Amino acid sequence: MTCISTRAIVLRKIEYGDADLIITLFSSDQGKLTVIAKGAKKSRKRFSGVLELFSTLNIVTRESRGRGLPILQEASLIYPFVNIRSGIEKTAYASYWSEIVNVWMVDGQKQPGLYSLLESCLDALDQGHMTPDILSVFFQIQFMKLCGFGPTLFHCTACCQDMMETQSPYMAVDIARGGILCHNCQPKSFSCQNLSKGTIKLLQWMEKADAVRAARLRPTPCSIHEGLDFLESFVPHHLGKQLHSLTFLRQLRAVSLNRHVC
Amino acid sequence: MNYYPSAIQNLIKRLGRLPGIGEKSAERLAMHILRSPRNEAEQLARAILDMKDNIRLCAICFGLSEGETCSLCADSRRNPGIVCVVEQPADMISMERSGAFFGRYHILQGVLSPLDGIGPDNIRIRELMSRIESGGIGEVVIATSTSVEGEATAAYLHDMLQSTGVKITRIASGVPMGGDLKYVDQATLKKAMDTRHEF
Repeated sequence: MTCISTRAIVLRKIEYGDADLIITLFSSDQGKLTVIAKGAKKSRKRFSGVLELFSTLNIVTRESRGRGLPILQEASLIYPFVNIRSGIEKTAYASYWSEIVNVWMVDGQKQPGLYSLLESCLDALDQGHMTPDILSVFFQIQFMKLCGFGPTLFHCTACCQDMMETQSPYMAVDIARGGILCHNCQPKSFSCQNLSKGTIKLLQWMEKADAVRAARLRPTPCSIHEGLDFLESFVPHHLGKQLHSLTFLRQLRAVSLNRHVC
Repeated sequence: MNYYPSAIQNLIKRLGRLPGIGEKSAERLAMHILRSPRNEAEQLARAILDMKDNIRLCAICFGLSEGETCSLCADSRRNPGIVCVVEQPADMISMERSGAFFGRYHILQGVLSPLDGIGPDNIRIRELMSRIESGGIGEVVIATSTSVEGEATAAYLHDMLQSTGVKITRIASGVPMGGDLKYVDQATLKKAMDTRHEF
């Protein structure tokens, strides 16, 4: 009977029956895993307080006797990331990144770079090294680069003109083609999403930077807002799925805006 | 199952839809009902229908009630100035069993869950706010669970309630009674140590 021992992050947790949980994990060396934790809801020793969303764990799983899901044998906490749950905004961003990874990854396909990215972003969110919105720009741009569908930001998607040569302060975005368009190529007939040159520079820089260098960056609120707006349209479009946590995040922003206005 | 007459097949199918009941258990239950006296089967059927017809949500706390308001909200001996916020009616029952709380309740009917798309408009937060704004409440005890969603909901409620001026408290969390320290996870132990109290 095959046993797997690995380090993994909890992406999703679904109640199964009265006592069991079905857990979706993202592991460093096995990729995405879906396992069943028998008796986890009533467990006071084996799984008590361990199987929480976004926690990094050391897990041991074994194959089930029949054709069922692998069984979670052991789980011990490495990082509980307790500060993430202390605020709804942090929880919403962590949920958004977890949902992106859950939707993108296929069971059993490993992607160690993406694992490191998710763990380092959850850690930075927990520690408060960066504001959640800047961190979300960093996560999304790095995620797309790692998965091979990053946006074209250095030249026009249609005519390949270098973006630094163009004089216009704003560039149009073509999400379906996967990048930005120069002044000559942008459609004149309808209004489309635009990015300022400053935001494009921020995204270019974020794509090349690591988490430590990204933490030193102090972008303007306008660039963060524009960057998030663009990425939160771009990522779901290329994943081919509307994400629940993104809808939640937008609801939360609307509530926050209303409170500011009041 | 196909060998049974259609009335039994139908009952097995219906019982099999209940949570935690598989086909075998449904078959056993159906056979038990078949062998029972007619009045027992009638009582069971009536009890199910009575519950469906008479149970509704209390207009004040959104707990389960047989009338416009539940027995706890109607009880004049309970302190109306303290409201305990819980996720589900079952949490309210657990709290009542503990005998530790003598105020009123507010049942959210869920918890904020970004991954399931359950936002502030999908649970009874607006109703809690209007209940507090109508006055007479001095303290709100947030008793959501200590899971990520429960803690995040508690943090959200704290943010929303701060402007109302009521005292906001959170139930303590730590080592369970009869619990063995070596089996307690580090996050729980840290919280228990942070919120330790003097003897």
